[in-house]
Amino acid sequence: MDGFWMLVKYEYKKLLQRKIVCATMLVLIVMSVLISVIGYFSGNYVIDGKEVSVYDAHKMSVEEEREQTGSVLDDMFFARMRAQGDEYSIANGIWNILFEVEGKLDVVPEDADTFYSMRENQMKMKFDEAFLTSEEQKELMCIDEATEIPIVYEYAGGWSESSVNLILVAIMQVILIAVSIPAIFSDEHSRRTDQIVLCTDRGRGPLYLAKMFTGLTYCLIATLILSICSIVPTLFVSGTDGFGAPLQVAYPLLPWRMTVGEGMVVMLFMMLLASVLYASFAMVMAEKSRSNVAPMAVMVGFMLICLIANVPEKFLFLAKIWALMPGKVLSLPGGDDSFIGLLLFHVMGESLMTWQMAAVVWGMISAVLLSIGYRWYKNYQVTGR
Amino acid sequence: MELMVDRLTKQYKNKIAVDRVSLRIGQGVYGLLGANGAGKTTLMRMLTGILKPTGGTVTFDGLDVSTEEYRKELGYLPQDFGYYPGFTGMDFLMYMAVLKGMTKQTAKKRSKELLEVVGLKEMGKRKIKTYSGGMKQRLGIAQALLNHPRLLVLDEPTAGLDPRERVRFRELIAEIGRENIVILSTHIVSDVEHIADRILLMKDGQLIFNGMQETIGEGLEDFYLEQFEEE
Repeated sequence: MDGFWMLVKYEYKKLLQRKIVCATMLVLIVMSVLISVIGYFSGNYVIDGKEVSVYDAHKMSVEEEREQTGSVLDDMFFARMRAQGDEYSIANGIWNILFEVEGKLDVVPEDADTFYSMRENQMKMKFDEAFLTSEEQKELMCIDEATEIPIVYEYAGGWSESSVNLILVAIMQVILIAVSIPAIFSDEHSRRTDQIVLCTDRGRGPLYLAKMFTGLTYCLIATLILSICSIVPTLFVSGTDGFGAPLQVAYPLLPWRMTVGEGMVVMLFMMLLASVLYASFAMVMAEKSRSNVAPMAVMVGFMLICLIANVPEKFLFLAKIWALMPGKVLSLPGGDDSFIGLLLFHVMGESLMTWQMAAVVWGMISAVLLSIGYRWYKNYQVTGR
Repeated sequence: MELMVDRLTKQYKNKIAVDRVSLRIGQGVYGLLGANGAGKTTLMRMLTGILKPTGGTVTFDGLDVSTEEYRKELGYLPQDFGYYPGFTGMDFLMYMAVLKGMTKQTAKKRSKELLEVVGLKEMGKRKIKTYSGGMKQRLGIAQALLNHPRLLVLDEPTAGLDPRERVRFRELIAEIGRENIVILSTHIVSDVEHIADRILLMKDGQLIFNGMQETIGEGLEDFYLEQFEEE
């Protein structure tokens, strides 16, 4: 084992001595911080004739949301809203719930029964759009029975914003891995050091493991750093309240039993898993193609395709496969895809959510890639030149 | 100590790079001569296990070339290879020593020893990107010697060395060759003339001569040139 850790040390040394790796990491760290907070430091609002910075306006809004935490969205609440008309100040989070359910802005529901039956209808419509079978719809409605009705509003802006900001970090993660990781393998070929390395007794098996370990741990650590650089400033600005708030406070049409905070943790977990998948792919492809450029091009290209392309739900099988692509899983949490999307995957009698299925599939693909890579690396022949 | 090469062949589509080469050699220094494209490098790669032959076998004291045990006995200096430019000379040797299965302490001791042997003691802490071509070549020789190899394969080892370094290198090789097998390939005939106990001559992938220098009678250079004039 002593030799293994020494090899890992030198592999890290090789990796971090590449200027492009450090430069990309630094730039992306700065970007991760900026994307989380830059919106609050650009421009001003005019409120009641007074100019207020976006940051101060946001802070005021957060305070208002905190004050309304605990509001029960029931008959009394809606009646009070209607009675006070424009004078009644409603937190943005509550307006968001009303808008998601009613599909209209600034409309106060007649009563709680109408509002919650409208929610149920909207959910069923979403299930139909997602081509869920009647069994699946029943299953989801059964899960939704655990949702506390009437909804008790709880401010959880810091956590839900963090989940949304992580989507951009997920894109940066692809760029970072595509730039940094392929060289772990391809440089040995382009520098022609493969000749001396492969004829040593640890040059085939242990070195492959050390390289893989270096690539995977670097990607995990880098993803964690980028995520922390995005999450911490967001929580600093928007607060850490509401980790345990039900998911329906942020996404009222979703049935899952999950809190907003847990949603963010799952998103982070999926990003870490995605980094393992990306790193495995980048290293194996770099070993096969003996080039940095090919894996970089494929990874960035595929990420762009995932961002713009969709498979219609009527092609359910393909749509389900497409929904498991990292670029889809790590997309806007309230959207049709994403890790908490409405699709259900049935495996050995169990129904799995998108993120659960993706975790299994990504883990399996990574393991297969790493073992294929080992075969290619072990049997590599130094020819030509 | 015996290296057995039996009908070793490498064929690429319609070109035979090495054609049924058979050898049986014991300790000593062997000079492998041949023009560019004669198959020297391909033969050496097969002897080091980094290239699989199309046919034939290579064994060292009964160990097959594909085994880890064989690689433990091997030292190899390729003709043309790169380094890790950000590593210091010491880093590079330590890394190679760990790859060769040495413990940290042994690796450190042996690396320092070899930096001194190849005249790079003062440069050990400098990055390789600051080294001259000759220094890099000496570092390459040092890495090949790290594990006290019983089978040392050197492809064009004197390339880039100045005359003084070349003399020092010949002495080093002669010393190693007393107790081990050293195969060195070159097209610089004078190198082989001074070090090699036995001459191996390759042409068009075939081993056309395998014998002592004394048996040649005339000068090695003349003999070598004669082989090409026949073409």
